[in-house]
Amino acid sequence: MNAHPCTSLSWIGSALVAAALALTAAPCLAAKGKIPDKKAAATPAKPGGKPAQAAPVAQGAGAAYKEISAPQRRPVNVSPCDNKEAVSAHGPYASGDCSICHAKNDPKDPGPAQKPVNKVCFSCHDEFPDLFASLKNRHIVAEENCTNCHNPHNSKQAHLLVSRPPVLCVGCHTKIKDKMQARVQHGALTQGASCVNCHNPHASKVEKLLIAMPFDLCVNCHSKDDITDGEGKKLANFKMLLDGNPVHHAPVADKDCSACHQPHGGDNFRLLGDFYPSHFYAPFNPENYALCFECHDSKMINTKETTTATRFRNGTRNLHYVHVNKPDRGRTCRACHEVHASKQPFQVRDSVPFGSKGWLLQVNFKKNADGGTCDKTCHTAKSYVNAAKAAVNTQAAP
Amino acid sequence: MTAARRSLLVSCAVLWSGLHSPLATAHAANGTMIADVELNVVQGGKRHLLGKEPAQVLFFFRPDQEHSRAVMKQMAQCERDLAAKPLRWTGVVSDRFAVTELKAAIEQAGLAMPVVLDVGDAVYAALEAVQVPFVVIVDGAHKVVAFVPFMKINFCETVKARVLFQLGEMTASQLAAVLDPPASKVNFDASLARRHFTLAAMLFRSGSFDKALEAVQKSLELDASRAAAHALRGNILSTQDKCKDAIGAFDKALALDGAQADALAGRQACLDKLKK
Repeated sequence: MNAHPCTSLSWIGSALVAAALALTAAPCLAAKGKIPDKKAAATPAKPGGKPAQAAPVAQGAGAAYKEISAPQRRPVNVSPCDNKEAVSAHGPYASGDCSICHAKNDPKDPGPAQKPVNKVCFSCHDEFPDLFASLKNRHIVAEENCTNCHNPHNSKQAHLLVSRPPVLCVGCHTKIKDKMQARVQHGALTQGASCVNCHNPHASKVEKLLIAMPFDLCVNCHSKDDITDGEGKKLANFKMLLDGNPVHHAPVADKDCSACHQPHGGDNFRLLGDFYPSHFYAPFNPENYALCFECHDSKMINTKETTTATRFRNGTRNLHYVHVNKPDRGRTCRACHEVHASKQPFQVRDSVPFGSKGWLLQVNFKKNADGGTCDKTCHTAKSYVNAAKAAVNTQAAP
Repeated sequence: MTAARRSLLVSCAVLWSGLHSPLATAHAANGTMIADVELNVVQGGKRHLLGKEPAQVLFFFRPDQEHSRAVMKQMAQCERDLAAKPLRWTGVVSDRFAVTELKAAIEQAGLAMPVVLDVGDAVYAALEAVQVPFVVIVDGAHKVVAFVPFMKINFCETVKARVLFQLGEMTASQLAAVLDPPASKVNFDASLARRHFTLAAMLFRSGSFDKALEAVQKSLELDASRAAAHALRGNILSTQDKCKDAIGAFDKALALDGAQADALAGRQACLDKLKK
């Protein structure tokens, strides 16, 4: 097909211009000699060779789909661009069949779209009504007007997109745009299909239009040995990590990496949602535990005596308080716990780094019915007994 | 809280039957029995923690926590979505929070469920919980059947699925599909055959027979099992006065679907045409 001039690169000014009008305004410049004549278009045929109105088009899809008639959400230029520059072209446009979508088959004057935009689109793309009807998490912009994101003629982008993700997406999702510019950035947004690496722009079974649960998406990349952070530091292979460490932190077990990480970017180390200390020791300050306290009650750390705030207690003596709540060398969460997975209950670490030569000091934690023991570690063997639980167990015994 | 009081709240039983790894969670295991207690209600009056309903939802939250506030709104929607079900909804919150603060948070979230004050966090501790928010689902015998910790994604869907499973309104495989949903990838090729077919039908209707034939052939190359596509090809060929070929296409359609109306009508029209 010969090149078409870009008839107009100017944006349609108002977001309130109906997409139908936008379609009308965009002439379908089909290739010469490939356009069915008007007479043929006006006299459709029926089985057996005689003119007819009906055709065996698959019908019935999306009977439950609630049609939405809405204005264009964004000012989009749906004019075709020069075919030499086009990466994708819509079938009917490429073949010069304007009347598939428009009132007339004249490329210079195709007339208005036959129906509201999505009705026109769905007459061929008939899987979408079913998709929108069957999935709870839908992209309202797609549900309203396909032309919010797609050029129905051709495009310099794949899949007829009016611009490439993430540019297209952050045009509306401005908060995400801000996050993408944060100090710590996520390669998932800049590599591959960008936003579409993780999100289905039409509809999904998972909230936030995620293609799958966060963990299942994250391990697509974070299950390799050669992934590094922005500073070149190697990142964990999570498949290996989790396979070898059966005790998983609850968000990991529930496939919800986003409980702790900001997948779009952030200001904290490792895209964490809030501050988490990177050191073994830190003076006790609740702000140091902001990330953990998003779920865990700070009473676990700052209550000296308790029978309810933690099971890591000897009688009523809160051993979290003993370890952490110190004005100088308080142990941070990472001193004793793995954040993702471990071999020990409560994600207790197997060992902790000691000294500057990379020696690992074993923790030797053992959980028992009424508490636990840490042996030959930072201290000599010390056991704790969860008094209340012991009382229950004693009472329950025959 | 005294050990005696704790002993009233918990008796032991471990019948782990959840879908998670048994080592994965730090809370009371499924099968743990919870003892009923009568507690003060934030909205006024008293209420038993547990009742006789086959599925009872205990929702633990804190009014001073972002995750809780987000989940409270979701739980309000959960309540509405499951309003017709035989459920007992109870919010549980530590009694260390001021009632006025709690009332404001409950109202803001739109929670309809009564919220009981957990004296000294006794119920929380009895469940061996270490974090909030979370939901515990208990059966009519007061046995824990599911524990749903905070999730940023699909929390309400997970709670609803667990409840419906407990009520026998969802199968294990349906529950698994909610907990571990299949990927909703953008599949650009899966429906290509159907799309070519639909385009062919539209081109046929508009009189572009050559293009219609080209499109339906593309469709059949991708998926030859669609009887309607074979019938359409037959109709296009018939329109082009190629009745012999058309009959072959109609026969293929009828081999796939003996009642394919377009193929039956088109084949008969072709036969009539050939007779003439």
